[in-house]
Amino acid sequence: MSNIIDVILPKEVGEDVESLVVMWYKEVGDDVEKDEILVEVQTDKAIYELPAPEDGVLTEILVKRGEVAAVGQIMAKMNIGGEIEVNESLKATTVTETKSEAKKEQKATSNKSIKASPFVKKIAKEKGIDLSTITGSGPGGKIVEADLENASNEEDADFDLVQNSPIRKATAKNMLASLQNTAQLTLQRWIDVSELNRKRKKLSADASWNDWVLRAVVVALKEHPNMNAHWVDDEKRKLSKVVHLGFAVDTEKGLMVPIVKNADKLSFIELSKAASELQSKAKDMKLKSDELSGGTFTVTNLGGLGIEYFTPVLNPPQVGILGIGRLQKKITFKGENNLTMGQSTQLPLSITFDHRAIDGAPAARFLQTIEDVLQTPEDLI
Amino acid sequence: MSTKTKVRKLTGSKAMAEAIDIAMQEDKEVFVMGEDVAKYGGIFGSTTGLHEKYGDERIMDTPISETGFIGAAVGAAGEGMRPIVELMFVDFVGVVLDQIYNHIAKIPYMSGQAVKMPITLITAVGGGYSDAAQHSQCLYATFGHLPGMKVVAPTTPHDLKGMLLAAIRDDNPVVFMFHKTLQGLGWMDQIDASIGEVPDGDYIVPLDKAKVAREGTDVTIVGVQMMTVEALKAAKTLEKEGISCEVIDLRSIKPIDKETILASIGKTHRLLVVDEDYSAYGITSEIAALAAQEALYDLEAPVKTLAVPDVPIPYSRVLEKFVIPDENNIVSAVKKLMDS
Amino acid sequence: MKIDKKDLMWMYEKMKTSRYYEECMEKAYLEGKQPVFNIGAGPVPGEMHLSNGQEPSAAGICVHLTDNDTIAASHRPHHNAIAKGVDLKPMTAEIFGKVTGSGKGKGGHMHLLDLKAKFSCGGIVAAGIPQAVGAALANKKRGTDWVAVAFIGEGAANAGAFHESLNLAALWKLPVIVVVEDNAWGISVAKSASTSVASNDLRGAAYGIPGHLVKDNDPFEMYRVSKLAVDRARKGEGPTIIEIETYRYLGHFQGDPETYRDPEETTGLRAKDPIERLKEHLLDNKLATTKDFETLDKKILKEVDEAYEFAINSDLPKPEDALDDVFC
Repeated sequence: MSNIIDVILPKEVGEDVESLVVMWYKEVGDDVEKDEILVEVQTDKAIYELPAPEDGVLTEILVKRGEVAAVGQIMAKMNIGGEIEVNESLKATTVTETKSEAKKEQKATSNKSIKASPFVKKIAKEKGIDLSTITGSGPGGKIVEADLENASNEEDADFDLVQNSPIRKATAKNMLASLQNTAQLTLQRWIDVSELNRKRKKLSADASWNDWVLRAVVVALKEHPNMNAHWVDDEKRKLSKVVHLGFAVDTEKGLMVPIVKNADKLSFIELSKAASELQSKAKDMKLKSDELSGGTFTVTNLGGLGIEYFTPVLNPPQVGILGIGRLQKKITFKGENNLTMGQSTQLPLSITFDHRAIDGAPAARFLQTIEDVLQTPEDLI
Repeated sequence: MSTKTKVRKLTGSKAMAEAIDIAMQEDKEVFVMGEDVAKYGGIFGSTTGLHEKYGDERIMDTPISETGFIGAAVGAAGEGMRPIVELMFVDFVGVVLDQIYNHIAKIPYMSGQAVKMPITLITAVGGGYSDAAQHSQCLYATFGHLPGMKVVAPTTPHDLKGMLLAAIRDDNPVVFMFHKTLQGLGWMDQIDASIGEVPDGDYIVPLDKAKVAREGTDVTIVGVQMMTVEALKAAKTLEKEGISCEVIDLRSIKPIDKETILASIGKTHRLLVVDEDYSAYGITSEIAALAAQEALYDLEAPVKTLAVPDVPIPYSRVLEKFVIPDENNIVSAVKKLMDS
Repeated sequence: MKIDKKDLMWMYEKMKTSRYYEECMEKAYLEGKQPVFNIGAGPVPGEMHLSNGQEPSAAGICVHLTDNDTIAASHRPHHNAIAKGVDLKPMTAEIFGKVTGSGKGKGGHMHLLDLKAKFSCGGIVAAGIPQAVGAALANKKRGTDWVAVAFIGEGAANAGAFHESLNLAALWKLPVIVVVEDNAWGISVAKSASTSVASNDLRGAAYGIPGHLVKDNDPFEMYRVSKLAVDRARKGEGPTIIEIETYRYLGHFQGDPETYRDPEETTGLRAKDPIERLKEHLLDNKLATTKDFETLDKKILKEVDEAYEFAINSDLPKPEDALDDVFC
């Protein structure tokens, strides 16, 4: 139980006189003996030394050095309570001590060097094994080479270890980099391709749906140059004057993206042919490096595999990639009050774009253009 | 019918004498000076039979005057001759150290290689037969430490002959240290290692290569002369306990064959160095430093060393045996090494 | 010159003790080394250099020395030690490598010492000469008449240390005597093949000091010239070289095949044995009786036998003792 008393500036100083606190001889927390001088105050006449009224501990200073106090004013507070108080303060220190000890211990264990030879540490580093997770079976708990082998083996019992192929490795690297280093997101919508559906066979017997879409994309890109660009850095991006159109091909070996150079200069048939050739080459692993690089926009089609919407991953530094899903027949409502049922052919599009370079609305408008363009397919040929 | 040509066996001392013989036959400038090298054939047999063939002119007994005749070798070498001088016991180097380390070793350097010192200093080292403090030392590191001399210490008769020939033909000064107990002398302990296959005729063994005397996978033991012999014995014992030792015969103290040692550490990851010389500032320290500097990340355990503790070699047999490392010391050191 | 009978008997006793000691050592050394000699085997391993035949070179000068005088001997030290009055028990124990030896078994036969008799020896040829010069230097500084004697072989007279030491001793007039025990062979090299002068007493001229030559292992002549040298030294007049033509009956070291010298040579030397010569002189001149010699011989044998017994029965040191005594 604490017993706090006030230390008051007494009358002895002088009635109606303001005293300036010159100097505190004691600090908060100090033990004080009765009659020990606590503070010196100055009136305009003299210096007065204020003694402690009892034994105790100075708990609060209310008038600091340089401040003014009047007679009767409380200068400070003292705790003149008994042992319990002392214990409380002791308890406080013990608690803090234990806390800092615990912290020290914690620090120590985390700093404790792992018992392993330079040779074992080298192997662990090469294999990417965290030595703090391994229990050593060597003398004195030392981690030995065998422990590292066992560590990898335990988890692998349920797995088959497969070495990553070069294409797998490259894809992994590129995908991760793309998702980490761009501000990409995907907008999705259905476009109505009923007109194209009606007319396409007449317009071109052999062209595939993909050919039409590629051609539409090329035309749309000319109207949306911001979508046909490369991000450079904070300061700038490059808008391409030509369209080098890449399109994804799924091969035995993995994903490849051959590029039709100057697709905007090709006619519908030329584009169709070029795409077809590149596709075969891809499947035969015969693509040259300049056929795999330099694209300004990419198209990827998973419609054949039943996919509707998806979130294609950008090929940086390109700022856009269009994903095409499965064509579907849909029931539409039109007419007055939308009561008439009709049928339409619709194609799901997913546009992933780099928001650093383009905003959502322009991206959406790009999709709209593709729909518009495909409404009049005869203009594409 | 066997078509394999049988290589004849020689003692260490006869192998050395044969090397000197071949060198003296091919080059008239080669001659030998030393105490008791003529009729006696060298106290440890290094010039056995040569005095009969070449006479006083080229196999010269000298007074007990090391500074005199080894200093004379400097002068003769300066005039284009190729002296071989014998320092009877390496322990006597004290009375002639100046001529060796300040002159033979430094004249070529100080003259910018204008003056060469094609001197071969042969000297007997080693203890283990109660010859006490002033007649049992090895001093490998003493010579290895001083610049300007090649220093070799072959073990087998094959290497003694090949390296001595190489040394005599080398235009640089070579300190050729041979171990007394490996000379195959009739009046010493007859140990198997002092006799070995020595091909007839002319061949050399390079002066800067160590030899893997025994291949192994668990631990590398580097030894010199008698310590190589002890290490090989220890390796046989350890094999029965499933420990495979690779034993390297150092052979060349200066220049030291780092590649062979480092390659072995890379294979076994454990190193023991055994030396009959004193421990402080010695071969064991040199090779341990090499491992720490250039093979740290190949080491599974700290380097272990065995050498003569820093005491003079004591006379009494029980005391001498205590200070010179042997097979048992090596076996127990390897076991500790495998367990660390 | 007339030599006191006491001195002659003293010399005889020392020489006889020495000879008997060496003969016992011959046997003890060969133990464990047969049938094929192996230097490291047996209870007395290592090198062994025995002084059979060289006794007069030690007895002839030590008769004039006291316990205050210092001697530094070579790798062939036993006759010098015995003549100087070294305690035979710790000396023999040291040769047997026992912990009761003068060096606790750490020195061995070439590194014996006795502080009371002021005796030491070493295995590095000629190294003892400057050390004896040093003892003489101390004596001079302290103003005593004590002398120092260095015993070397004729081979050592060709080592650098010989020249430097004598020049220094002559320059500073130090009370040191260098006794060259010319036993005609430096291991296998004859004196004529190693030394440019006929005898080393002549080398005294190089340092301006006297040199004496004692021919044919003569203990009387050795006594005479040693007295001159010791007196000269005690008077502060400086060093002397004494060369004595002495006999090495055995090889340089035990196990030496001695192929470099004619076996007839040693037979010839043994025929002129100096101990026998001295004994005959004493008997002929009625200075001693056969009975005297019998008693004396018995005493000598007992003393030597007891020393060997002490050595054989003493303990070997503990192996870890090898690490002690490097520093104090």
